[in-house]
Amino acid sequence: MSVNPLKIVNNEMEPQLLLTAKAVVLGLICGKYFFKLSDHFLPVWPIFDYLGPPHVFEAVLKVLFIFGCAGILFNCRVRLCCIILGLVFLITPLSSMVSYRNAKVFTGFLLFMIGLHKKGEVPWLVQAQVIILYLGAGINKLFEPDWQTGQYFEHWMHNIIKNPYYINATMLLPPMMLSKIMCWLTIAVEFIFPITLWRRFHVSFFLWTGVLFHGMALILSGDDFGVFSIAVLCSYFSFVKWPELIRVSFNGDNLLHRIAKGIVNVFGFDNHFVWQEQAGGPLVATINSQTHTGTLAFKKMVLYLPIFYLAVAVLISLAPTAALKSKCALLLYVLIFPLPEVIGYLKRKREKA
Amino acid sequence: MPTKINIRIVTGVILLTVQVLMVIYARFDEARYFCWAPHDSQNEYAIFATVNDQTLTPDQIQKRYRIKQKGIDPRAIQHIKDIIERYETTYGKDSPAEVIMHYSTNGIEKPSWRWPKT
Repeated sequence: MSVNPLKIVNNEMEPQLLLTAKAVVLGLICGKYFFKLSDHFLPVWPIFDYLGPPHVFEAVLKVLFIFGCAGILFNCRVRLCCIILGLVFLITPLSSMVSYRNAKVFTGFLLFMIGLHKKGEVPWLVQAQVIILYLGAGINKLFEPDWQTGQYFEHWMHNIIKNPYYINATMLLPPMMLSKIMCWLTIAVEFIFPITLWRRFHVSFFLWTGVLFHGMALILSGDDFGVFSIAVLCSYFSFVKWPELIRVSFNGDNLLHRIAKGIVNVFGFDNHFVWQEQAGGPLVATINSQTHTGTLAFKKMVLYLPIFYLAVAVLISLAPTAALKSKCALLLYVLIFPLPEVIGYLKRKREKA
Repeated sequence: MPTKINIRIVTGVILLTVQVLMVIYARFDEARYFCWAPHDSQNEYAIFATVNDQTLTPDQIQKRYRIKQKGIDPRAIQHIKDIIERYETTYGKDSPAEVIMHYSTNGIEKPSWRWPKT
């Protein structure tokens, strides 16, 4: 067992689930959630009022928080630690109505579900959790009159966020039109998502759409909604197959190939890259029996480096202002936007024609 | 041969089922607990409270209910009403307050809410 926090391959759980848990933990630490854990006060279930003095209850939650975070980060009893940390965030809103936040509840459920899965299992409980989140959000919005008319977005953007780009854009269109479009687009995405994920229909395309959807929310509002955005985006890893090995063939005489190898070797701590020198050949990466060449190969390799996602989670959480958070989100989207894939697809289509 | 019940899976399924039931329950209730309604409404509110004919200051209100006297809450407004109601019927039973909350939801002014209910 390695205590390196940048390693995600272990004997207890699937690497992509551990990556999710680690990114969420970093989001929690950077978001100072330790200080947001409070004593029992106006609990949903009165039984919490009888669980000892409030300061002791708070101290126990905080100790469990530290224990859970440390275990997940340093690869020690990761499943148990996910369950413990998940329970901390499920108990918090039950023990205090004041501290009820969707971000905390989702984080709690997500970590708890991750902890329930053994290595080698399809993480269907985590997948079902993501599907229920979107379906629930879609149903709730669909029945809200202010979402049907666009009033929610109009008020949020004009009077609360005061986003100048959005306000200028609304002036180019008839009153309420843009807000109505945004509201219905949100509802549509939240309904299409669970159906698509459940039916396994173009999953990868919709995962990119999800990144765009939450990225846009970050950019428009400059708010990461607590740890919510990070937790939701990381939960997508449960739909992704993390490769055991990535075979890369490279040209040792090519400086760019050597730089690519250097970067991946420095930041790839799980030793899942197998390098093979091929004189005069292009950079080729074979991931989950799919072959990628050139820039796309390098991009794919970077996307299978856990440090990339952990750094993004830290950046978004630590950005001190709304504007900086927006810029981080924009940078993330530009970095992971599937432009080479789209170009490749168009090229193939043209060749066929 | 009896089927072995997997406690892990049963626990997960129960938790998922509870969430589905809460989504359905939310259709019949103003509150939005455990049913995934993040940022479904933006509520601007201001709470005014008196105890024994003494008007509470914003700090006293914050200390009493642990919510700001005035602010914007992206949860259902019912959550704030629940907090006040629960406090007044439990911890604050011995020094009851008269509360009036003015609020608007998504920019639309709503009738003021009062405690005790009249």
